[in-house]
Amino acid sequence: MIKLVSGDGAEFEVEEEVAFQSKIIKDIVADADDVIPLPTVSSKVLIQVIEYCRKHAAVNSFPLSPSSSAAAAASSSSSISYSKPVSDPALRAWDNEFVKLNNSSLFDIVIAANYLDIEELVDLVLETVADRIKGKQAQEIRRQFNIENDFTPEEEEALRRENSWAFQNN
Amino acid sequence: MNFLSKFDLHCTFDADALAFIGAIPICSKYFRQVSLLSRSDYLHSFPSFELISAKLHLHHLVLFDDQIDETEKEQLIGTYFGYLLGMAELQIAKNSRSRFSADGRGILHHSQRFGEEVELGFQAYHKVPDGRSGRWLAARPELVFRVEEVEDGFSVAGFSTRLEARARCLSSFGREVRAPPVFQLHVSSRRTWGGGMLGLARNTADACVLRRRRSRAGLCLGGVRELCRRRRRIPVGFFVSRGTKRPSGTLSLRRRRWRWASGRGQGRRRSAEVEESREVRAASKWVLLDTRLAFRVRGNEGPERGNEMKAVARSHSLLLDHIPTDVLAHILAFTSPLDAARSSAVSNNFRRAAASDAVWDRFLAPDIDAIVSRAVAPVEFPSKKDLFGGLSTRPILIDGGDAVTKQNPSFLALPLRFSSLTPIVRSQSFALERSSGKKCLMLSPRKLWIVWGQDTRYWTFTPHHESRFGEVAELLVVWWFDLGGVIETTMLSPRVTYGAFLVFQLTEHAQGFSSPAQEASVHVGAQAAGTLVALQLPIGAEEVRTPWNREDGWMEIEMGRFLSDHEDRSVQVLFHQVRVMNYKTGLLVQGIEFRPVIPQ
Repeated sequence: MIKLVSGDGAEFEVEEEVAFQSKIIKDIVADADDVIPLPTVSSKVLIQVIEYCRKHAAVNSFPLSPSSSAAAAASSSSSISYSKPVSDPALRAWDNEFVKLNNSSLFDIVIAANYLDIEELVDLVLETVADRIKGKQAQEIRRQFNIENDFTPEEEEALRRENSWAFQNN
Repeated sequence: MNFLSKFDLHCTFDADALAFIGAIPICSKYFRQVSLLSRSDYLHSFPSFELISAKLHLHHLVLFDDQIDETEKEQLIGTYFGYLLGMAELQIAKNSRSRFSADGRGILHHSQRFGEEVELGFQAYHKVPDGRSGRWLAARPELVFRVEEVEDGFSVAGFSTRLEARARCLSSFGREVRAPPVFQLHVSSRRTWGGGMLGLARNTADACVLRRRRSRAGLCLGGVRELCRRRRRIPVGFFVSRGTKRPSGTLSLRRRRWRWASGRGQGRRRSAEVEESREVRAASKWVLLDTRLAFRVRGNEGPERGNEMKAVARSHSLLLDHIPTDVLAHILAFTSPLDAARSSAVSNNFRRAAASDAVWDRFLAPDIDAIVSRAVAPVEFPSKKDLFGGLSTRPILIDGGDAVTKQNPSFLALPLRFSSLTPIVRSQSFALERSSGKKCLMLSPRKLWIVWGQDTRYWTFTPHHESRFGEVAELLVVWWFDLGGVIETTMLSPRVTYGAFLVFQLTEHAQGFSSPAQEASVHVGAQAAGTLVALQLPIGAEEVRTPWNREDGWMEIEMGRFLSDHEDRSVQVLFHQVRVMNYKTGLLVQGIEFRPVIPQ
C-alpha cells in the first residue's frame, strides 16, 4: 500500500498497481518511502484521479504483449506523445462517463494528471476539451470557456485576415 | 447490534445525541455549560462503523436551555443523528438518509426526514488545528473520512466528491467546544436538498453579492450584480479600507447556485446560497475562490478616497485562459486544422498555442518528412504551421527528376523532343486539404496511362503555364478514348473517403465529349464502380454527371469515390469512351486529382 497525501493534508491509501498508473509516483516510490506528498493536488481531485486509476489498473493488469509495448515506445518519439486509444469498449464507456464534468473540474483533473504523469488520463481529458472546441467559432469558445478577448480590434482583424479561409461561412 | 438499532438507541437518549451536537458551534447557543460526563470504554470492542458510533458516546454533554422547544430539539437531534447515520453510511456504504458534501476538508452532514425537502442551516468552522492527525480512509472512492483524536476528545471529518457542494465544514466534538478550533475561513450556508440523491450539479447561473460588511481592515461597501454565463466579467463592488498601509479587507461573497437535483425521471431545480469571506489585498492577480469563481482586487490610492479597492469577480470557468500554452496546444492538437485556425482568434494564449509546432505536427501526416524529401524543389518552412500552410495552399511536385528515359528503355522509341532535351518527369503533386489536413495527390499526365498517348498524331504533351506540372496532355484527335491512373492507397491518408477528379480544359475546338457519354470507373481490388459522365454539355435525356469549374480556372469531373484503408493496395481510375468511335478532339488534361470528399 502506498500513502498519498493531498495538498490539504488528506491521506489516501491505495494499492501499488493503482498508484503506479502515475509514472511520477512509480519513480518516487523507487527511491523513497511509501508516503508521497502531492502538495499541488487537492483531495477532491485526487479522489477522482484515484477512481480513474483504480478502474484502469483493474483493466490494464493484463500484461502488454511485446508488440504493443514496442509500438507504444515507437510512437512516443514525436514531440507530443499520444497514448494508444483505449480498446476495451466497456472501459471506454466508463471513461466517457468519467469525463462528463464541467470545464473547471476537467481543468483541475488535467492539471493533476499532468503533474502525476498519467498519460492516458491527460489525453482523455484533453480530448474531451478538444471535442468541446471543435466546430465552434472564436466567440462561442470565449463564451463557453469564459475567456477574455485580449486582442485589440486591429490585432483580431489581422488574425482573421491571415486565416481568412477558416473564418468563411460565419 | 445492527445499524438501525444503534440509531434507535441514540434517539432515545438525548444526552447522547447532544454529546455530539455539543461540539458543533451552531448549537452552542442552546447550551449553558458543557462538561464531560462519562467516557465509554467499549470503544475498542466494536469493529468498523460501530467504532465510530461508539466514540460518540464518549462525551455526554449538558442539556440545553428551556428556550428550545420540543420540535426544535427533535430536529436538532434528528439532524445530528443524521450526521451519525452519515458516518455509518461512510462505513457501510448504504442508506441515502444522509448527504455528504465537502470541498475536501470536512463533512457536511445531516439528514432530515427522509425524502422530504428540508432546508438546512448550519455554520461551521473550517480547518482543524494541526494536531496529531488521524488517517484518512476511503470508504468508497468518493467518500472519505477521518476520525482524529485531539487533546480532549475526537474530531470527525469526512468528505465526498460526488455532491458538488460548495460549503465546507468541519465538525469536531469533545471539549473543544469551549474554544472553537482555529480557523480562517468562515462559512455559512443554507441549502436546500431534495429527497433524491443530488446528481452532479449543473450550474446555470451564479449570482455574486458583495455584502456590506465591516471588517478589521475597513468598510466594505456592497454592490450586487448577477454573474451569468453571457457576461465575462462583472464588477461586484468595491470596498474602502482605511488606516492600513497596504489596502486590504474582507471580501464576502454570497453566491446563489442553481442546481438540478435529479429526482426520479426528471430533474428539479434547486437553489442554494453559499457565502464565503476572504481576506484580500490589492493585487493584480486573479484569486481563485474556487474553480468557478475568481476575483481580482485592485488598489486605487486617491487622496480623497483613501485606499479604495475595487474587486472584480468573474465567474464560471477559468479553463483555457489560464491553462499553460503547451497544454492548450495539446488540446488543439486533438481538433482539426480548421478548428485550430479558428481558435487562434480567441485570445493571445490561443494564438500562441495554435501557432505551435506541436499542433501542426499532429495535423501533418506522420510520413510528411519522407514525402517532402521527395520534392522536386527543396521545401523549407520556418515552422510546422508554415509548412502546413504552404502545403495546403500551394501543391508541391514530388517524385520528379526520375527521367522516364533512364528508367524505361522502351520509351527511347519516343520522338526526339520528348526523350532528350526536355526532362521527362513522371511526377505527381502533393498537397494537404486545408481544413482536415488530409493528403491530396494529383497524378501528372505522364503518370497517366493513355491509349495512343505515345503517338503524337493523337496525343501530345504540351507545355502549359497554368498547369502545376508545367505541361498538359493535349488530345489532338482520337476515336478510341481511353485513359486512367493508378494510385497506391499508402500514399493517401488512411480511413478517408477520396474522390478522383479528372482536371482538364476544353479548347474552343473541342468536340465529341457531349454524346455519347463517357464512362468513368474506380476499381479497388475486385470491386468496381462506374458512372456515365460527359465533359461537354450532354445532349438528350441521358442521366450523366457533368463537370464544374475549379477555383484555379480549370474544370474537373468526379470519376468516382473510394475509401482508403490501411492496406497497401492500388486503386485504378479509368475514363474512357470506346463503345462508339466518334471523333474526339480539343481536350487538355492536367492530371487526375485524389482528394478527400465528405461522404454524403
